[in-house]
Amino acid sequence: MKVYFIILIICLIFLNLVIKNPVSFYKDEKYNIFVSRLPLEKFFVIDSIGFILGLRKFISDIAWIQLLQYYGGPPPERHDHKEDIYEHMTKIQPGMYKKFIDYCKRVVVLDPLYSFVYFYGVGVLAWNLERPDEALNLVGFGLKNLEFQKSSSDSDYWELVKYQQAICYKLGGKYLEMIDKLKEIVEGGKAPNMVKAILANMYKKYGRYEEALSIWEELLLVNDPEYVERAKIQILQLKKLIKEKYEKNSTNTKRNF
Amino acid sequence: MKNLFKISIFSLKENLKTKLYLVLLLFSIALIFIGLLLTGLSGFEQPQRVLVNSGIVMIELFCLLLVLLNTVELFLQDVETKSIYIILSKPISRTKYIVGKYFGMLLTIAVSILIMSAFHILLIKISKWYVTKEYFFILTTIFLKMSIVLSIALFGVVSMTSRVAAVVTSVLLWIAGHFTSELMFIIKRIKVDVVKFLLNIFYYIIPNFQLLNLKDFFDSSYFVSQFSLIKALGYTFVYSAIFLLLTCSVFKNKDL
Repeated sequence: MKVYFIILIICLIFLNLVIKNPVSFYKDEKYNIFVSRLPLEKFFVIDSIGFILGLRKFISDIAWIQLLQYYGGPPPERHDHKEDIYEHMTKIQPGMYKKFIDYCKRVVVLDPLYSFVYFYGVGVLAWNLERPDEALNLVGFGLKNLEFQKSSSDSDYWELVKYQQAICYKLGGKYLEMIDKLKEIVEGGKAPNMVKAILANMYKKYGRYEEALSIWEELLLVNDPEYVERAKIQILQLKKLIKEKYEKNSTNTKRNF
Repeated sequence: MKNLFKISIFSLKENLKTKLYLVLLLFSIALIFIGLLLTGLSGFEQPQRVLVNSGIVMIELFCLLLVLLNTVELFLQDVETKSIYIILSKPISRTKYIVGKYFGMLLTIAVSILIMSAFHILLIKISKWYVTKEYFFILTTIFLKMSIVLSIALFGVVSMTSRVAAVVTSVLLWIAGHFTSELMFIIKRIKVDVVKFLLNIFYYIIPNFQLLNLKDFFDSSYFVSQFSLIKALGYTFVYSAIFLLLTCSVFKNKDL
């Protein structure tokens, strides 16, 4: 019996030495659980299951759902729960959802290739929660993880660079340049609906009603339940504003004559 | 060869007839459908990813349970009910019996993967989404993983003749096999030479399931291009063959 085990061990060592691991993804130390670390201790058990059973992608989906639940619910920092649960989508809430970045990092530690989470998380942190420094931190995390895509010009890596530039413009107070960058992001086709809504709000704020209207119309067509009602309201408001704008312009033209 | 084929088919029928198999199959199909609930929770923009990932995971976990429970149970049942003597009293060698059992179980896994993936694809199509060619690669790698686990479980049950020991050994190797990258990370940082040497041996013995874990990075064309199905097939074939040969050798010398 002992002989068999010795033969077995020798054969297996030889085999594994010859083959090793040709898939270099998780071989790269930057994706290692001991380097990235799990940011939220309370989910340690479920996250560890993802690592030890080879279910990183599936557990990252669970983590994504938990992120949405965290951000979709009332801010844990508040204790009265009577407010509108969609308030966070319409109002800027600096200082709220303090653990949002940890929730985002948790998802991308589990699945470093989950680009949508970087886009969504960066959008929320930079423009909804007014924490651009944290957004830049998440961008940096994403750029490190997606570095292998650097050679492809239309990759998610370069998409994240655009977000980084937009946040830098925001920090520098160059809002028009920031809007142009966000426009580029939205036109790229990979932007979450939330980022599209942010851009539409920016357009409205700067009087570019036609552009805002086209985004809201697009969001209405997409039929995302989170934005349908808001899109309907915004479209009505914007049409009214456009009408007023034209009336004002025509009055001014008549006066000039 | 004819005998081997007969044993494999007999083993397949035996597996498909067990209540445990039916319960597990129905349960996994139900879980695949429950994946739809998860898609409802995953927001408007990511449901396809969640539905695909949850289905794949259910298929893999069901196959793992099937391999661990059915293989061990059916072999020990043969020994305990003495039906193994009826088979071995015929002109069938013990090696053929083991190899036949192995192929029978592999066929069962293949049938199960086909059934579950059919339901899964149906669900994806109903949801008006699509299935990429990588999906079928993933199913292949799940099958390859199961071939290795099956050979380990069979070796465990034949050499240890204990349900618990065989299942625990296979589960531990399953876990360790998915933890290889982390294990190497630890090994590199250990400063005590003896521990480093022992862990290195362990690292090179355990099956490298990360090699076959395509489901964790199938959406990246870069990493998919690095994946070699031929290498994966070769690795699985050699790894399973080693365990299978040893199982046959142990079984030949076993007093039943």
